[in-house]
Order: sequence, then C-alpha cells, then structure tokens
Amino acid sequence: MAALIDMQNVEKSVPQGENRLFLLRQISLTVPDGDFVTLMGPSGAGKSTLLSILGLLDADWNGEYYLAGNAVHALPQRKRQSLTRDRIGFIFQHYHLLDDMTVYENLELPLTYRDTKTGDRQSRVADILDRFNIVGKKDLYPRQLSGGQQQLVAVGRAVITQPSLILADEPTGALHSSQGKIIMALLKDLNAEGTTVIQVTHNEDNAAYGNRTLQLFDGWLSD
Amino acid sequence: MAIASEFRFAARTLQRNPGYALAAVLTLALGIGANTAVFSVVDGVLLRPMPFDDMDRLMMVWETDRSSGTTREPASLPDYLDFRARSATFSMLAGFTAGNVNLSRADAEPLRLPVVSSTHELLPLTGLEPLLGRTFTAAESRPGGDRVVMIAEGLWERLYARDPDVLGRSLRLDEDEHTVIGVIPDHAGFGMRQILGSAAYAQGSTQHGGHADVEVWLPLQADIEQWPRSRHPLFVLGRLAAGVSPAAAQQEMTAIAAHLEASWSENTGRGVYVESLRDVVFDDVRPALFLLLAAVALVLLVACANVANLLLARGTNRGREIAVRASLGADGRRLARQFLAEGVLLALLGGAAGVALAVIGTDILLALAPGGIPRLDAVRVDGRVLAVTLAASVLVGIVFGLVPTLQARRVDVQTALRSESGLAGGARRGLLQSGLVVSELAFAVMLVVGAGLLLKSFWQIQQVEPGFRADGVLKAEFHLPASRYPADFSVWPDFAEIHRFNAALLERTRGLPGVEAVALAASHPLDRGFTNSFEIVGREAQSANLPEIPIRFVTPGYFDTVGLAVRQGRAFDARDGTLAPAVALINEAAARRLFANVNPIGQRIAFWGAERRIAGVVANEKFHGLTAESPMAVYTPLAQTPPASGAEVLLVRSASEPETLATGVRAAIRDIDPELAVFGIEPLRDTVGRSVAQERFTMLLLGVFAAVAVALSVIGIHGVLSYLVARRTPEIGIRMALGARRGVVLGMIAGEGARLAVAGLALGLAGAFAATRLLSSLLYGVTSTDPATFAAVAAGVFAVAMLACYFPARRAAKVDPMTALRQE
Repeated sequence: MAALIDMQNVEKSVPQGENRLFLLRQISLTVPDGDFVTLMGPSGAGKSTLLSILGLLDADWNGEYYLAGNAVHALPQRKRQSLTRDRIGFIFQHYHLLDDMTVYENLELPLTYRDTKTGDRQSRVADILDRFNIVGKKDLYPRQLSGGQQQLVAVGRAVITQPSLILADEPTGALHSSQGKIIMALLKDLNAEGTTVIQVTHNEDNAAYGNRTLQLFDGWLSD
Repeated sequence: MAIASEFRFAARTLQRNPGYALAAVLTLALGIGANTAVFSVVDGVLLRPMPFDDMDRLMMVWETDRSSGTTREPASLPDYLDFRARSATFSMLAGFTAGNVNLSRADAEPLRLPVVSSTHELLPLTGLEPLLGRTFTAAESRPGGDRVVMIAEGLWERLYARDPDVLGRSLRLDEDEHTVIGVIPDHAGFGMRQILGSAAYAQGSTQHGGHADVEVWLPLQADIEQWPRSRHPLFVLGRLAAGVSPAAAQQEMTAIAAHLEASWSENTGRGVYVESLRDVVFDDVRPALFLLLAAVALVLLVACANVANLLLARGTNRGREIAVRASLGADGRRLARQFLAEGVLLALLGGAAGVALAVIGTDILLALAPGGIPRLDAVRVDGRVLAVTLAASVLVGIVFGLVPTLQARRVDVQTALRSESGLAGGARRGLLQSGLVVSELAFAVMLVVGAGLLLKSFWQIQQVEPGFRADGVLKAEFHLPASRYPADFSVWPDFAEIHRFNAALLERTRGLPGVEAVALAASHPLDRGFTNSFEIVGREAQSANLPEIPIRFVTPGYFDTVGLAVRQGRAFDARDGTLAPAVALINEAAARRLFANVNPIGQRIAFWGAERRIAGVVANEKFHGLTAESPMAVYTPLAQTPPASGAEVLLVRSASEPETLATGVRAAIRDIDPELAVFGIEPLRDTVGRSVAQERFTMLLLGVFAAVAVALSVIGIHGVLSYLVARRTPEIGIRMALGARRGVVLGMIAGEGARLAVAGLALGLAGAFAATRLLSSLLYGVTSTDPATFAAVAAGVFAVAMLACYFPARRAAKVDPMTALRQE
C-alpha cells in the first residue's frame, strides 16, 4: 500500500519566556492509504496539535511532511489550502456545525468552497442525506437536532467531498455511548470503503475500531 | 450562485440576530440619513448645474466708496451707461433695480409682487430664453418706451393657469396698464435676493416685502434726468467677453472708474469692484453648508465606528464559525466575500432606512432653512442623491466587511476548533474596540465644541443691544402708487396726497384698542433703507471725505414706538411739519464722529438741497443686522422728506400681543385706500428673529448632529465596557473571591471607562482646536478657541461618558464570584 502520509522528524514548539516549549518532538509517522489510525495519550500530550499539523491547519512547525506525495513543508499557504480542500475532511468533538445554516446548507458548504457545479452539489448532498438517513432533517437547523444527529451531519459534511483522509478529533467525546457507537461504525464503514481515518480519542473502545494505535507522551510518539 | 448565496446567508445571519441587526441598521440609518439630507441640500444649492449659462463668467460690477470703505454699492445710471459704453472686457452689461409693485385686479384684492426693472440686456446676458413670447427690446428699455411686462412662470400659473394666450393681455401695475410680452422661468430671479442682501445699501426699498421670488419683470426705462450721478440705485451685472479674466475686467473697470472720478465731482472716492456672481450668491451660505456637511460626515464616522464595534463584539462569537469554514476549505478570499456580503447588506439596509429618514429630514431642513439660502427649490432627495447614498452605503459596507475579514486573519483555527465556543483573541479585539470608542468620542467632542461655539455665538447675538425694542411692536408695509400719490418734485416736500394719507392712517391706527404708540417710516428697524451723501454746513471741504449716511424718514412717534432713546435735545414733534424749518436727528455714532468736540444740537447738515438743523441725538440703532456695528445715521421727519418711491412702514406698539392688532391695522389701511396691498404684517420681533435665521439654523443643526454623535458615542462606550465586563467576569469573580470589595471592582471598570473618555476628550479637544478655526466666519463675540466652551464641553462630555460607564461598572460589582468561577 502506498503511503498517504509520510512525516519525518516533525517538531512543534512555542515560545516560553526566553526558551521554547516543545509540543511535539521528532515525530516520524507513516500512514498507508486506507489505514485507520488511533492517536491516544493523556491531555496535553500533543494529540490535537499533531492532528492540526496533519490537517494542514498549522503551518508553524519544522521537519518534513508528505501528504499523497506532496511536500507539505515546502508548499506555500495557498497550495496547502488547496490540498486541504482536495484531500481532507474534519470531524470535531463539538460538531462545529454552522448555527445559521440548515442541515442541507451545512452539508453543501464544503462543496461551494470547491466550486462544485450546482447539479453535482445537489446530487451529492442528496446522496449523503440518504446514506446517513437524515433526509427528513435537511431543513432543520443544528440546534433542532440531538448531539448524535449533529455529529452525524458533521461526519456527512466531512465525507461529502470524498476526501482520502478523515481527521476526527474526539468524534464521540460529546455523545452518549449509543450515539458514539453509531458514529464509530460509520467511520469504520468509510474506512472499509478506502478512506484513511486518523482519530484522536481517550476511549479504548473507540480505539478498537482502528487498525493500530499510536501513543503520544509529552510530544513523543510511540507505537 | 456563490454571491447570491453569500447574500442569502448574510440576510439570514441578520435575521437571526435581530437585536444586533436593528442596532446596526438604526445607527447607520442615522449616519447615512443625516448625510443624505444635508447632501441633498448642498447638492441642490451648490452642486447642481447653475440656472445661468457659463455662470463663472457672470460678474457683479459694484461701486466702491473709499470714504466709507464699502465695496458692494450699486452704481448710478450715468456710471452704468459709461461702463457699458467704454468697457471692452464685458460682452454685455445689464443694469437693474428691484422692489415691489402693486397688481390691481378687477375682481380680487390687489397683490404686492416682487419686481425687477432691468435694461434689455439682463435676460440675454444670463442665457435664459423666455418660455413664451420674448424679452425686452432696447427701445422698450428707454425712457418713454412701451409699457410692457414679462411675468415669471409661477405667476403665469397662479394668475392664468398657464394659459398660452396670456401674451398681449394687460396687467395693471402701480395703476398703469402693462402689456404682457413674455413668460420667463422662475429661476430667472436666481441670486437676486443675495445680490440685494449683500449690497451695502439697496436703494429702492428692496427689503420691503421680504423674501418672495421675482414675479414681475419690467423694462428699466430710467431717465438720466431723474437718475443723476449722485444717486446709486442700479445693480450692474456683466458677462465677461471671451477669453477675458476677471482680473483683466477689474483692471479695466478700475481705469474707467478713475477716469470718471477725475471727470465728475459726484464720483469722488468711488471705484469699481468686479466680483463673481457665484461668490455673491453663495459666499454667505457656503461656509455654513460645508460646515454641516463636515458635521454629518463626522456623525457618519461615529456611526460607523459604533457599528464596527458591534461587528467586533459579534466577531467574538464568530471565531468558531471562521475556523470551521477555514477547516472546510474556505480561503481568505471566500471569507472576505462572505463578510463583504454581510457588510454591504447591513449598509444597504442602513442606507434604505437612512433614505427614509433623509426624506423626512430634508423636509425639516427646508422648513427650518432661512430664506437667504439660494436655490432651495432645487433641493430634493432624487436619483442623483440616492446614487451618492448608495455609493456611500456600499463603501461603508465594504469597510464593515473588512473588519471581520481582518479579524478572521487573526483567528487561531486550532484553538477555536478545540473550544466549544470558539472565543479567541479577546484582548486584541478589546484594544481595537477601545480605539474605536476613543475615535467616536473624539469626533463627538469636535462636534459638540463646534455646536457649543455656535450656541455661545448665538447667545451673544441675542445679547446685542439693537438700540430699539422689538417686543410689542407690529409692522405692516404698503406702497403708495405714484398714480394716486404723485411725487411731484417741483413741490417737494409737499406731496399733499402722501401727507394726507399718512395723517389719516396715523389717526385711525392710534384709535385702535390697545395701541400705545404709532409711527410711519420709510423703512423699519434693521432695514438698511436709504443712504445719501451729505455735507456739514460750514465744513463743506471736509465733508467730501465723509461716507454716505443711512437716512431714516420717520414720523415723530417713531422713537416712542420702537423704543429708540433720545440722548440729547429733542425728538421730532408737531412743530416739524412739511413747511416748517428742516430739522434732523443724528445718532450717537454720527455725533461722535462728526461733532466730537462741539455740541451737535443746533449744528446743520445738508442733503437734498436743504440745510437741516440738528434737533437731537438718539441712541444707535442697528441697520445691517444685529452683528454689524451701528453706522452713523440721520433721521428726518417724514413730513419733510416723504418717500418718493411711496414705500412706507406702519409701526404700532401695543400693550398686548402685537399679532392681535393685525386685523385692525389691515382694516385701517384699507379703510383709507382699499386698493393698497398690505404686506409684511408681522411682529417686529419676528423680523429681528429672521435676521438671525441663518445663525439659528446652523446652530440648531450642528447641535442636533452633535447630540446624535454624543448619544452614539455613549452607546459605544457603554458597549465596550459591557464587553469588557463580560470578558473579565471570571477574573472579577477571582478578585472578589480573593476579597476585592465591590467598590474596588466598580472603580476598576469605571477607571477603564474614564481612561477611554479622557483619551477621546484629549483627541477631540485637540481636533476641535485645529478644526474650529474654520468656524471663525460664523462666530460672533466668541473666538474659535474659546476656553470656556472647550472646558464646558470637556466637563459635560466626561460626565455623560462616566454615566455611561456606571451601568456596566455596577454590573461588574454585582458579579457573583461562584457563578463567575463556574464560568471559568
């Protein structure tokens, strides 16, 4: 399997007084296409920081990072944004749906940012609504949905652009267990269809959905 | 799709935040509405195409008088004819006078109509074409020419319902039949009021009848025998020849004037001042209008700063949204487009509401506007004004779109996505908000200082001692037509018909209930009236250097009626009849200048071929408005100097409200002569009030704008402190948990507010110090850097600002530590 992610000696630090505080140390990580990786570790270990770097939301780090063969560390900001749009879908602990948009519009939003044609947009949103069984909710606003339903929409929004990589930061953290299981099963299904998934979680049960688990301690990565 | 969906989403965002949307739209509406209203006035008055062709080539040719220092005097007829004959720098020179004329009607009351009598060049010179018929010929402009008349469009409508067959009809004007030869646009009279109002004096009682536009145009038909070189009744307007500059025209006219001065003793000390008609018309009003435009621009800035603050406060809750959008693939351009859509939508809504306010505001402005502002009839909120408003709104919207766009650049996506609320960057935002509030306060302070200076100036004008008491006096004007009240100079001053009428009117008016005193005069207080050259008997050589002196023709009751004090000698009385020895009174200014070392009583001055013994000295009466120094003045008995023009004013002092006498006075005049048109009936205090209408107008408007700016600033400072309190609630909770007393917390927040207020005040006062110099020309009795006004404004604005701080500070002091810490 070809490597979707190849990270070598990535380090992240922030200034602290006259010194620097290291959040990530010498991270080297290879994730093949279609893998399902779980990042675990105590609070403050650097899991979310690593996820942000993987998702190209953070550009302030040292080292080498190749995503689908693209040398991220050498890309200008605009190209990184373009790579994010083409390759990555995000799922957040707090769903982060836009309150003033309906379910339909939340799902449609990533497609408008990719200048997808109207007809194509409509059919892809319809597909997701069907697949996630939320057709009846399409005109509702996020606050009219339960937490599980919101996260379902958030997953739908993450996959609607058919990304090759899904980054999920505590995707079930705000849900009760039954809702969490539905979401994790969904992620597993997506992975089975070929999408690479990297999740951050504290939950051992959720980690079990992945193929392998990586541990982070004080910014150091270990298998 | 994208743009439409951005606007759709923007609309929904506003809909879902009605409080925010309403506050922002109303604030913008105030700013944009005030700007639209004032801009519509400035546009109508100053910016729209002028009614005359190539207006910048039209010049007033004034005469100047070195001895009096006046620069805007009308010319004599012979001077005008010499100018016309000798000038090569003007392609045309027209002469005209203005006054009023009685229109007799068979089946209705007579009308008093404003009239201009001009040489035939006047209308061709302006480039205006008659709507119907023709203008005067040269032959009609000569003495003895046909009695013809042109009427203005408004009168054509009023009297003839725009009947095209009006040409050839006869109008009975001042008892003479005149044939209508043309109808001309109403705006042919453009600038006439300003020309007459700006003249050092306006012979021919141009002030009478007040403020109506010119409705009747007559050929001048002036006879040089009756209009000698010593009389200066004629306004001269010229069009510069092609390629000639105003400076070249001035040079030539100065040379012509010098030649006339050398040739004619009447022209001693007289020169020529060539002045652009545009300056004559707009000079008085331009500073006030630009001041108001600057004021509303400041109001708009304050409003924008306030809305920007609202946006910033709202942006506090948008960090998460921005971060989510960024994580979903939105780049900076996309985000900017969305925020621009929101900003523009907000501004367009504000603009629409502003236009509604402007339509109302413009009506109010027009209702309040003093009569002296030219072209108010051209003021309207139309497509042109709306286009400017639209452009301003879009511009404002773009600026508002930039605020969250800049904010978005600073959003820490990772942090915002990790937290539930997405709050980020609070301290920096707080700094920006504070900066905006300081700016708002500074702008508001500048406006309040300006308004304060104008208020103080207006108060100073109110304190001016005009020399007469207007309260309790009713004024009524009329004009005795020459046909029934002939001015036969061979029997001067024994114009029997006029004297008979005057005596009858005084007697009848005296008999009205409540009348305390009554007088007739040729001009009322604050009317510039007539001026004439004069000699001091025995000091004739010295008299050549004396300026012309205003002369009031009055009946003996004048001094009691208007409360003008007699300082020395006596007032006029029954002894000073038509055939009695000629007497005069002078005012204190004349006594001081002319008879500094001698008792003026018994001295003699001479004008109009008669020596007049000075019988008394009266107090100084204002002639040229309340703010101008009282000039030297002479009073003569009306019986000895009846007005040849027939223009008279009846002044009646009443024990009760003067308005109650109006009906009786009107009836008294009609009883004696039913054909006389009575006009200008009003309490004298209204006449005085109107003389400061422009000052009141500017002061009122600037005051309103300053109040709006202060109100918005106070809302701004309140908002920022409220935001501060919300942001620091956990900190306040910790402080209180650690033992901070409520007073300390109150002081802490109030201190933040005080710092903002002091910064805003300092900047505003510095700005005002620099900017109020531009107000100098509008101020009377107060300097543009008046320390008392600056101090009062500083104290007042600081107090109001601190009041605005009090409520958020009190809220902070009431924070429950436990709740606050749970929030943390």
